[in-house]
Amino acid sequence: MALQLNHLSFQFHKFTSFSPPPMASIRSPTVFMASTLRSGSKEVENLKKPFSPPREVHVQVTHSMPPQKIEIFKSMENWAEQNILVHLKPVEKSWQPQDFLPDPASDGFHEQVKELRKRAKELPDDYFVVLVGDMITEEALPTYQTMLNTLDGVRDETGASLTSWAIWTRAWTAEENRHGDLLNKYLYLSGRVDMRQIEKTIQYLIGSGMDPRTENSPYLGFIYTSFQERATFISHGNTARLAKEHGDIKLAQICGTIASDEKRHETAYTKIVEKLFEIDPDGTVVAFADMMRKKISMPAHLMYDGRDDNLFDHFSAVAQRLGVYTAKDYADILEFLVGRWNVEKVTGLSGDGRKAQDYVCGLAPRFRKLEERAQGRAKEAPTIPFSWIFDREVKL
Amino acid sequence: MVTVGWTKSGFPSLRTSRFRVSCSAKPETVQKVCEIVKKQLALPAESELTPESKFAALGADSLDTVEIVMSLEEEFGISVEEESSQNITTVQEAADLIEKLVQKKSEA
Repeated sequence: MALQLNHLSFQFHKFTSFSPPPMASIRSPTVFMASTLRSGSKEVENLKKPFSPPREVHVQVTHSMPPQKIEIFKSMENWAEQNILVHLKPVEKSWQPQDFLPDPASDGFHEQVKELRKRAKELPDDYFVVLVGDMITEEALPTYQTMLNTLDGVRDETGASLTSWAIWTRAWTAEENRHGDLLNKYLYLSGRVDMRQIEKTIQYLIGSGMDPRTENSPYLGFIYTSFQERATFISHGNTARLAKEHGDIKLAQICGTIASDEKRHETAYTKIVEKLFEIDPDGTVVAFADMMRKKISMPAHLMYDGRDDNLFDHFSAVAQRLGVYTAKDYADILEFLVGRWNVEKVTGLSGDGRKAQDYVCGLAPRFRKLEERAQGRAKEAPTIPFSWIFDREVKL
Repeated sequence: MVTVGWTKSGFPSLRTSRFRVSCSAKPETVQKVCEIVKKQLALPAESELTPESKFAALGADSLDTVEIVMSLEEEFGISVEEESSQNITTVQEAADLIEKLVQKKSEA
């Protein structure tokens, strides 16, 4: 899940902060270039102090799932053990970051590092901006484990709870933890990026947290994670592809390996929601529409490096331009999920359920149309400095 | 937002209700905007829309608002800048902006 990359939280500026990619910003770069205090900026309140991290502006809603539904998740525990935990990899069979990095215990260490740095030299700055943003997102893992533990009915009550849900959450966290570690070490060794600025960004981000507006509801939560895992699978897949194109096969393997984890996680989360559609189609379709209406916000949308008040938007724009995570991907993921969960065919819905079904089924085409128009009207993008790469400039 | 006509004559045109004069946009323009809004929001034909009607109050979410602006662009052959579109929250504001852009277009 970690890679949520700005990708696609979609920063349609016209929408809200928690929205699709920066299509609008591509159209009018002057808007976000104008000042540090952007009017209408999502996380920026009117009284925002310049050079402070952004904060969530929406009112935070809690426990929106009716408490009687908690039973559903208790009763699903055996099912989860048989059907969800199987998607975890045993630790003994799992890859570790060291498998992809120079071996410090070997005599060849220095040579391996030299080779890594040589390959890294061939990767352009804009690629590094996106890779760094991804890494920062992964490194904010504490926030995501926290988020999973806010969900009613499935939270890990003690930190060592033996419910299937708690076992899943801890093991998922453990698998994800390797992603940030691996990317961190790679970036450190590469010599191409300002580690201190990156580390600062991570500290700010974990401090900021995030509110994906899942309101303690596992319905909303698992729909959110389904979307996000697929988004990270796509974006890591793209960074892998680009690494290969630039001749860094080892980095391509790194990104590809991370992507395959995300795919496994996506399978697990989508299975949970599929089961929820079976058990409570009305509640689940309404939840799906609710999350899409609120827009799937990217986990790292509050990122801040102490310098750029619009860091996430800028990062998103580069990810969009490089094709790592785009508005089109957002629409594709939505369409995929609608198909995966057979939303069109769901029956026995209430009036609200049918409205939600119509909304969700009709949404992807609307996004695509918007995206087409934005592409057609895209203006020349500015180049701006990124502190992650020593203030070298990159085109948005 | 100031309509071109007003600034040319030197009258101050402020976006406050005190200064709002009913003839800021042609009735046909307002009518067309109402039609487009009704269609976007799937409102019944009989629903009463006034120039002051706020899109959000009619049930429009942010996606609806963008699509309304897109439909208006197509209908009137204009192009709305992102900054301007953020200020469109009512029928009247949409109509005023349309007239301003149509005017600018004919002067180009």
